[in-house]
Amino acid sequence: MSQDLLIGTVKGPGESAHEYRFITPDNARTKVGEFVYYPVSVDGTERLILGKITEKAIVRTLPDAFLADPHIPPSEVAELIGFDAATPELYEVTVSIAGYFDPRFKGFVNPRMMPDPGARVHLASSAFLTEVLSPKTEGAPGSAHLGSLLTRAAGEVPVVLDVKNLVSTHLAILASTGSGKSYTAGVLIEELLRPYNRAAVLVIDPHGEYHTFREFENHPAFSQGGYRPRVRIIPHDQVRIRFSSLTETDVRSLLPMMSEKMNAFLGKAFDRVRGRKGDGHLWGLQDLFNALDAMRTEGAEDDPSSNASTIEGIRWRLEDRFARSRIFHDRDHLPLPELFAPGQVTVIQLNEIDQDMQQVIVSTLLRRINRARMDTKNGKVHDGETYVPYPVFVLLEEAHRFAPAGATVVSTPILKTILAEGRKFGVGVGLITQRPGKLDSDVLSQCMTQFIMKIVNPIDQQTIASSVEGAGRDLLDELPALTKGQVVVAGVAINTPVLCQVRSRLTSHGGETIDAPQEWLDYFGVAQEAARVQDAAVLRPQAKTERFRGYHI
Amino acid sequence: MRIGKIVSSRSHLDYVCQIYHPGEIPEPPEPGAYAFGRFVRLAGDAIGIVFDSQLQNPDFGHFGPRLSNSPQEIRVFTPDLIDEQATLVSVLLLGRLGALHGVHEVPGEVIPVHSEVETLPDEDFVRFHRDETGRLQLRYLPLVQANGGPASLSLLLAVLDRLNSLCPEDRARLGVLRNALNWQRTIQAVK
Repeated sequence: MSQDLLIGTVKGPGESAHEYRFITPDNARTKVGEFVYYPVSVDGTERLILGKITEKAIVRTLPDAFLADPHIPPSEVAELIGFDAATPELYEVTVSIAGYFDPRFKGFVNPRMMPDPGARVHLASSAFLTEVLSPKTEGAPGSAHLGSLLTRAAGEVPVVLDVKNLVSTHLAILASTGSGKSYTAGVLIEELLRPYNRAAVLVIDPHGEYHTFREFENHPAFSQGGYRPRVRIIPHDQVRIRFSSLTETDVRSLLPMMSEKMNAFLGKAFDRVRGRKGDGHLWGLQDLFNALDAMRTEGAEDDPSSNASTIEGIRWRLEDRFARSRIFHDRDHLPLPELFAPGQVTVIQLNEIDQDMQQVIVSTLLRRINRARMDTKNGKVHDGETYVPYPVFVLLEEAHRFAPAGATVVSTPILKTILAEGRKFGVGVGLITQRPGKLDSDVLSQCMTQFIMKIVNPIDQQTIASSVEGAGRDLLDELPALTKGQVVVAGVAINTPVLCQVRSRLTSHGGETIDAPQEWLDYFGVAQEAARVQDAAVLRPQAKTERFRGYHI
Repeated sequence: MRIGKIVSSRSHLDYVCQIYHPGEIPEPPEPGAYAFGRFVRLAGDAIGIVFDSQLQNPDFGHFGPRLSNSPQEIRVFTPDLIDEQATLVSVLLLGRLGALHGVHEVPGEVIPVHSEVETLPDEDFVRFHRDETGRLQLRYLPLVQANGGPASLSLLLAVLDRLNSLCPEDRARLGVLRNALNWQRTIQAVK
């Protein structure tokens, strides 16, 4: 499909001011999501006004009675009575106008000039679409090759995103389970780590399915010259959070059934420790205990036992939650320069960690990186652990856990802050969720590039409609019909919303669904059965050696 | 077999044929030869279909005493007197028959008065329904529906039944069309 093809004739305007309709006998090439154009003269220059097919209806067809016998094509019956045209059907196609591509703005300009009835409509050639749909060319610095246009042959029109806009103004991957959202995220991370991007990426992985990123290090597609990406996988048992990086809210969120009085004491203790140690300095759980102990008799000198039970209650809860935890530590934590470096992807695996703990970990990490980038950008730090002199990108799986709709958890405020202001300081966030309806709509609306895959749930669709600016009615209609690996890309990283088939991963995908039947069958394999017999066998004590003429037998 | 002659027309497509009575030609036609739905040939190669009929009888309603003999006696004793009773059939023109295949179109030329009308044999009937590639054709169907009067659907069904028996290889296609027309004639008519 390299040549522009005359495909139809304009009938007239559509329902809205940016739609028109044309008539065509061509069913095969007028797919919903396909791009067509009409030429028009704008200020003396001929412009090709590109638009996307959003609806198609049949306006003329053979009588139903001709379809009565499935063995007889209706066209043969029509031919019998003298209608021998190759295509008896006529279609009315609705097109949503994008505009003409203006290289100066690197985007589409809608001249608001409707085509005249009778104007010719052409199918845009693949070469033309390759030129205008994607803001970048494949393999160029700052590009991310996601896949190719769904309505064309695989690879014919590459969909290449602008990484600058993609990571700085945040992104959201919204899809139901099994539609390929982590696969798509994997493709994006691959692109971010290719030699032409070399990004600093952190992936929060609650399911432990991004471990295959290790393949980046030895894959030829990722190395160039002396560059080779670094992959750091931090398993859940190596996650460390320094106690002093927690806020009072973080701590409180992890403590069960705190009374008002307990909260008051805890807050006062926090203030004292911070006041004494100073913000940004090291302090530990013991310092908090000391501060609490000092308040046992405060304001109740006559009755030293009056506060004691409350203090004991807080201490007991703190000890139970933090003293025995291997995650929280007085000194150790995950140093930012080790988490973030250009050309490095760090995967923090949070599987086997409670959800409320995950929220605190994410909240702490996001707060630290946001603060570090702000201080670095504002020139407050020039070296050390909080000096991060490059933009970073954080990909958050199961984002609805960290900013749920209708509730504020510890990670919600910092996530909102970064989504609102992170662009200025070079902190980009990517949110992945299978339940957009459960994600805070403010958070979702701040993601300026959207990757939307198959979504059937009407509540989730409604959330997308209300929160995602780029999601038009036509686009939402497409969502239930998408199949695995098909994605609607909209937002600032692409010139106009497109339907895209995600490309194949260069490295293997770690998020495959478990093949339960196969695993059940394997259970009865010869080797596995033998192993179980061995495991279940009763251990017989070793016979004692007998002594015979001074020798052990 | 000759069945009659054109005596008038109602339009460029609709001609009136007066059927030969006994005595007019040596072998007058049997009623089956000009029955409803029979295909006829006119003026050489024009092909039409009998879609209506009418009986003319000027004596009907004359109740007064007759001075002349009865029509049967007149036919025997004074055959030079004009017999005013007639059987008229309406013929709808459908096209023309070429040497090898039929052409379903509105004929350009006018059929002259007194043109002979004769029945179309089965082989010519089939030939008329073949196009230049040998495929079955019924291109006159819209024309018949528009001009064949209130019984046009029955007329077409009669044609389809005849084709069905003469062209067994096309039964499947004809069956779909027959079902569609039968539905129109029966079910849609009572809706």
